[in-house]
Amino acid sequence: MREDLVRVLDGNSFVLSDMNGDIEASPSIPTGMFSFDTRYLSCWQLTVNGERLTPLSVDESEYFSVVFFLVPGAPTVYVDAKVSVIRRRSIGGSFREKLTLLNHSREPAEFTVRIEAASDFADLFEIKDPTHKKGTTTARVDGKQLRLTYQRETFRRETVISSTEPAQFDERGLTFEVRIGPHQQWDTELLVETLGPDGKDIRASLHRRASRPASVMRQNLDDWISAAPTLGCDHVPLVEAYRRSLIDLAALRFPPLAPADLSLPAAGLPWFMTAFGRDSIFTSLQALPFVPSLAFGTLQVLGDGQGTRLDDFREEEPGKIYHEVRYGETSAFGEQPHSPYYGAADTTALFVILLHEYELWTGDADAVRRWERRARAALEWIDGYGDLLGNGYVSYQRRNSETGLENQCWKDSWDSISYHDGRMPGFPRATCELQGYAYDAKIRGAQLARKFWNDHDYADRLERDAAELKRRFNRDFWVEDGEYYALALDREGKPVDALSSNMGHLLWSGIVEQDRARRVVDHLLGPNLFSGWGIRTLATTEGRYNPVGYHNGTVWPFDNSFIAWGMRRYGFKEEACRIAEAMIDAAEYFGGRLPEAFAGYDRGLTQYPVHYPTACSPQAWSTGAILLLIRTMLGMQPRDNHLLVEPALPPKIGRIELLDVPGRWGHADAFGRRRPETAV
Amino acid sequence: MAGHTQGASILDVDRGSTATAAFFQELARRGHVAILEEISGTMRFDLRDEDGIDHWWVAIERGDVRVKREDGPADCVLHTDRTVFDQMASGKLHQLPAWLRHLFVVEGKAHLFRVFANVFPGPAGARDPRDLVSNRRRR
Repeated sequence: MREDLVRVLDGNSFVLSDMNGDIEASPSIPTGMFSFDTRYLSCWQLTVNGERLTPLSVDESEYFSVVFFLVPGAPTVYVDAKVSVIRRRSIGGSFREKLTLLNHSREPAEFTVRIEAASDFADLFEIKDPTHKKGTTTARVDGKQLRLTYQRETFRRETVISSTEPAQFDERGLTFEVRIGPHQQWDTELLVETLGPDGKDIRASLHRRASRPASVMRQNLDDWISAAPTLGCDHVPLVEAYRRSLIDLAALRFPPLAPADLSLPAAGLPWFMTAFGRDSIFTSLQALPFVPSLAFGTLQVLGDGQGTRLDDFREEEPGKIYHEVRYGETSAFGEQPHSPYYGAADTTALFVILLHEYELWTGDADAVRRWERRARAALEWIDGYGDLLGNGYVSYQRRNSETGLENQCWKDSWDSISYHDGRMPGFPRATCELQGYAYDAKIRGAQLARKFWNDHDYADRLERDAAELKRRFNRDFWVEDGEYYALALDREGKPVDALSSNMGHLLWSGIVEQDRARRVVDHLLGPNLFSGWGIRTLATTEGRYNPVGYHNGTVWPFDNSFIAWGMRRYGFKEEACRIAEAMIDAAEYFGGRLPEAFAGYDRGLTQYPVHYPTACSPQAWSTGAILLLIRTMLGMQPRDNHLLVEPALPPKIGRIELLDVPGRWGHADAFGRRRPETAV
Repeated sequence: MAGHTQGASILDVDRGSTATAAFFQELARRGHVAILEEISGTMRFDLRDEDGIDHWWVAIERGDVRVKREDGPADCVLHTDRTVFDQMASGKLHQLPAWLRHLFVVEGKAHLFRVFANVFPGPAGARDPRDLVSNRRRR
């Protein structure tokens, strides 16, 4: 997405505008005010005496508010304005905008202030691929309000615009005729309400949460940051990236329909402001040592949505954890399957992994006991519906052939899975990391069964299955010629032999034979996969490699963070530090905010990490990457009721102190200091 | 208390609304529903048609289910048309699209209904994903 758009957001309600605060939506520039996957404003333009406004500066210090300082007219070398305009915008449920006009002259002055307002009520899926609306949009002046309404059968969404100062409303906006004395100012506050089908605020009607004023949002953010550990570090870019990450995670919290006060991370702005099984789980894993409450919310919400029946359109199966849920018109009328959509082959194992890791950190044994049935159902899915070929591997083949995803792993674009020569395999496909997650889920499931469910037979069986899986996996996925793990197995059980980042996740899962780990790490940090800024999704030697290919050569910070954690698991401290340092270097170029992905060009070629054009930012699991890298550098691991710390810092960082790490121990501190004699 | 049902008319053949009645009768017959083990509370379903409002009342205690065909206070109340509930109870209409289209309204503890909705059947004729794969073999 364009970097010069200004955003304010609160969960899945957000406003994207131009630098002057205006919204002029087009298919290529998706500005607007959005809530619950529906655009409520596609036009919001301010003029003063018929002139558009030019920004002098924009203050984006809080994610839920922004202040625009503007002057009328086109930008010129000299600004000699007799009037200036301040737009103070905030979102906390409703969208509020306080307008201030300042008359800088010594004479009284009259101004015509005009807001053009309209909505196309586009579903987020229509913005990427515009289609004809099937319902009717109307604009109606209703006393001191402008009501923009979309109605399709019983599906109704409504935008209501009002002002504290009297205005002339018409169907295309509102006008103020104001007279301001010399050196005086004029103010009004515009309120834009987003209503659901029952005429109540869409949040109140769908999520049972009322709108919150900015003061409550501010207090909430302060509480969030003060509850997280405090980072002290001599490397300023890391401190900035950490603070940015905490704020972005707060912004991305999404309150689903669940018991009060729970939230889980939405996946990313602007396209992914919703609960995603995979993204919410990975982000919760990354954030566990910092904000463990996210993991609880994720487990609750995804568990509530665990599949219970067979449904071809939604690709639901009993025990399966969903991919994505959406609240727009295309979900409501079954034009898209996200209600919820279950097309993901990794989420179910990851759910078990998160539950286990959550207990390790928090000691919340009640949760593990309460969710035993759900965890068992997930483990059963792995060996049942997940094993499409009956060959003991999790694989995927969509059965919603119209709107389902072809690739149901984290690299979910259509061309992400290929052989070394660039051909693409048929279906089903069993990507390697799916087997790693399945292995890890069984190992962790066994620990839960033994410790909390009092089922030793089940624990033994899971461990036998896991050992058998590891043995077969190392036989079937290992590419002898190149000494690496294949990206996948094809339908015939033959290796899909592209060299990719996927095998990095295998280190995290523990499915790699110890004597092969060195080769895997060497590949990952070799010149074909490691760009200098991070590990590419696909090696430069592969047929489909493209430094700006979404999953075929770009660098994904989330991917790198899990690979670094995996390297630590196998004892490769120095190598994990190389990844951490590269990511922190990259973050500095992005203002502390790692994007979803960036280009895979070699660091020697570009002196900075190159933007990937349509990447989402902030993106939850990129935000979480910095947190997991801090955990990895400090070597933090829960052991019984203690926090183990075994730091290994990269050369640029002399000291990391993480104070008040929450966990089953209460609060503990983690210190890392690089000793010159052991410097890496 | 598993399997305990009350209300004189629960096993009566309904006024043309077989899917709804069959759904609640099956729930009462099962008595314990594993996928409801994570919730406890009472729910009421107020189903409108031209003859008035039909009430179904369900108590859930960690998966143990009691069903009555009568009015009564509840932690969570769902209001809808009988035709809409018939469709949900027979797997023809999914609850989330129905909700987004305002085909029903939930009052009270909506989370109870979120989990309860998992009991509704899926669409008829859905396939096991393993059956789509022709060269499947058993280990």
